[in-house]
Amino acid sequence: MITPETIENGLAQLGDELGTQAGLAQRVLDDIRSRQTLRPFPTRPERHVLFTRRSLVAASALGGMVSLAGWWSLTSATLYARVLEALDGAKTVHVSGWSREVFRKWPLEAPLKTTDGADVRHTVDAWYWTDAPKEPASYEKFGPVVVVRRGGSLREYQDDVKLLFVSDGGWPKNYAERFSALAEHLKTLDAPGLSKEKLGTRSEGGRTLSGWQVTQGNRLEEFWLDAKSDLPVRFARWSNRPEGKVHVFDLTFSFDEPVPTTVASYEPPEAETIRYGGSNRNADLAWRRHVQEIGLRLQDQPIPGRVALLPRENGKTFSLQWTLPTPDGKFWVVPLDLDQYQRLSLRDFFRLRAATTAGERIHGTWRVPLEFHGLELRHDLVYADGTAWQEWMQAVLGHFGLELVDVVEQHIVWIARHDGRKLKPWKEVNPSVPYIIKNGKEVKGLVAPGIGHMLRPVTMEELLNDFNAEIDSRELTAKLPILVDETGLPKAPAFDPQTHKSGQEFFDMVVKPNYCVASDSPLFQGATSLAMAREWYAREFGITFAEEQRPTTIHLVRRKQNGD
Amino acid sequence: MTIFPIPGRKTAAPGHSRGDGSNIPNFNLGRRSVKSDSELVELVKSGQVDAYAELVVRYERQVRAAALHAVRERNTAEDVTQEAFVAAFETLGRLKDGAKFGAWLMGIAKHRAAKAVRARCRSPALVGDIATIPADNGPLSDLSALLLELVERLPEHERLVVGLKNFQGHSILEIATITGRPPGTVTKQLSRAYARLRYWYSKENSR
Repeated sequence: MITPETIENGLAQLGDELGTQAGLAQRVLDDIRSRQTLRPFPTRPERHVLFTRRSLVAASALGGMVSLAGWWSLTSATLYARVLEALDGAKTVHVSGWSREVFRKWPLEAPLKTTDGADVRHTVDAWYWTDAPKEPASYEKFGPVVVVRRGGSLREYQDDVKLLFVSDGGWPKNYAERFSALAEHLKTLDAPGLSKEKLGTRSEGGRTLSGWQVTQGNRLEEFWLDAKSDLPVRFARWSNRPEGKVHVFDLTFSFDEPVPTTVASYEPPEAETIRYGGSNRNADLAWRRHVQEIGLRLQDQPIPGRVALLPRENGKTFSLQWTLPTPDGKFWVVPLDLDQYQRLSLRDFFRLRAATTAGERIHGTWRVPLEFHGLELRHDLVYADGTAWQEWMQAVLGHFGLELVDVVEQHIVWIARHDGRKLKPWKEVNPSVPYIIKNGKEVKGLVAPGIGHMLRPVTMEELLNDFNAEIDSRELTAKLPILVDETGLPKAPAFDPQTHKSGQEFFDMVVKPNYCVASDSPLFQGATSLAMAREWYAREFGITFAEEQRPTTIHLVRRKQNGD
Repeated sequence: MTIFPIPGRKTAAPGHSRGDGSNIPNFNLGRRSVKSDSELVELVKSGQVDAYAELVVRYERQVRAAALHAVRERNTAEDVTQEAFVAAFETLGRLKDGAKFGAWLMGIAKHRAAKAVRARCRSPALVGDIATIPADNGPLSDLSALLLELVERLPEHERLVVGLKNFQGHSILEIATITGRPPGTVTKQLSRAYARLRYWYSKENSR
């Protein structure tokens, strides 16, 4: 409890509880970019259907460059159309030059771009072509960042921070849509205060170039076209900054050059830090590889004893992780962080790693003082197969100078009993609080008492387990009821990989039609949910909870006490 | 206990529970020297869209606080938070003084939140249901919910510095840099804000 004198402590707690939303900054940037990508072409929409495959590849190539250059902003719609026609005949596009600015698909761990290093010119070398299987491909090197695309797959290697960003299917495959990103820049032609000026013509390398200059705010751009072919030749930007007029980038375009083998076959190096985007499934492999590495390390450097808490080296994180055995089966590796953004609080350690749905570690038997809830871990817990849970538990708690003590108390137990009625089809049984509806659509995932939060049909066993797991999961007081299932209702068999190809198939074919009893599991959390839960179970299933006091072992966490 | 792979989840190894949880990012943006709002806004305006990430991280909690306070429901508050940042980006060209980004952003957030509340009230699908949906302060304890209420009563300029100091953990000098206000002014604004909060808190507690 805070006092008026310590209001700052309360504010700090409020700040913690407000927390931050995973990847919000990234999502905001993605949202901004996707809006730019998906907006319709405002001046000549009929062009979309006229593009040939080749023109789209070339145009998408330029679309890629737009993120660097935005050069369309200096031209007119007519000129734009002429350039497109010219690009229709281009097989490859090569952009070279330099830029003071480096753009990243995953910017969040990179040094912020700044004008401090205004004299640094990053080499630009970008290639766009169509790969053998007719998949658009590109290679873009902007200083320390290399982005390669092959069809629907993107890899960005950031050499300065040794980070690899992997994204599959994260951008439109409809290249007409991708192309319309240019429309955003064309829009600026109508922007008030835009000044366009024709620069006339000049000769260069035996060609006649015609140029335009566009001024917008403190930005000045020059764009040169081949007067004969209308293909872009050079694009440059200057910016008026407090330190004076700064040349921001200077790019040269060339066409139909053979793509160098080193570019076409480029593969980014392996990186310690990997971030995932799009609909990528490789997150799975990254974690498995990490567990394999731990397994190999344990063979070379055995740990003293049976349990070790290994800190994550170099801030290594994974977007997907779960408990796995090492390849030799001798150890279990338990991830002790939540994901790539957040460490694992001690509260979540008990909720997600320590407590179980049945047995002596069942949810509801953990009493952890609030002051310890916020302690954080970013480790891998490694323990030898067969290690008693108390042993690895003490290793984790010992890390914070804490210990576990078991006490036996009279504890409230709710015995769930079924009145024998026939259960309704699962589709007719919905959580006690309906989903929020926005724009005519159900919005799932809202975390509030009584609202479904597993987002799929559930069995009675899962319902009761979930109820039991959540009821005391925030407070960890070990004072709320523990459920005992005496309904006698049938339980789904265990998944057998011999008879079903996947867990999903097993769920769809066996569990859902035969054992699911509700469309979702309502979130019943905290003492205030108990009445709502009782009412819902009685109404929907004829299940009542008989309250009893039973001697129960409570696991109490406390500071280590010398001499005990 | 039935063990089968649940769609969309990994099956835990024996002895381990399920692995879900809330998401709280921990962007390591604090390792660099702090840039002022004005500088960041200029960087974004000059085409460095990625610089906007730092502004998002800087004001995320304050925007969420304002949204949560207005809409009283976590999911909508999260939507409002994201929408406010996107809307602010899209209209950044209209912001003449980058040093006022924080206050300007909060204005957008409140406008968006009010819009969300109005939309929710108008939604016929919710007419019969809204009363059954408990107020959800999301991750907030009762104490924090009360403090949020009080913080939202503060004048805008004080709320901003309180957010930067207590939600984001910035020092006085950093806040001075971020907001373009002299350190002395920041100190005074903070001290006045704390005095108000202490007074309101005592009053609320004595009820």
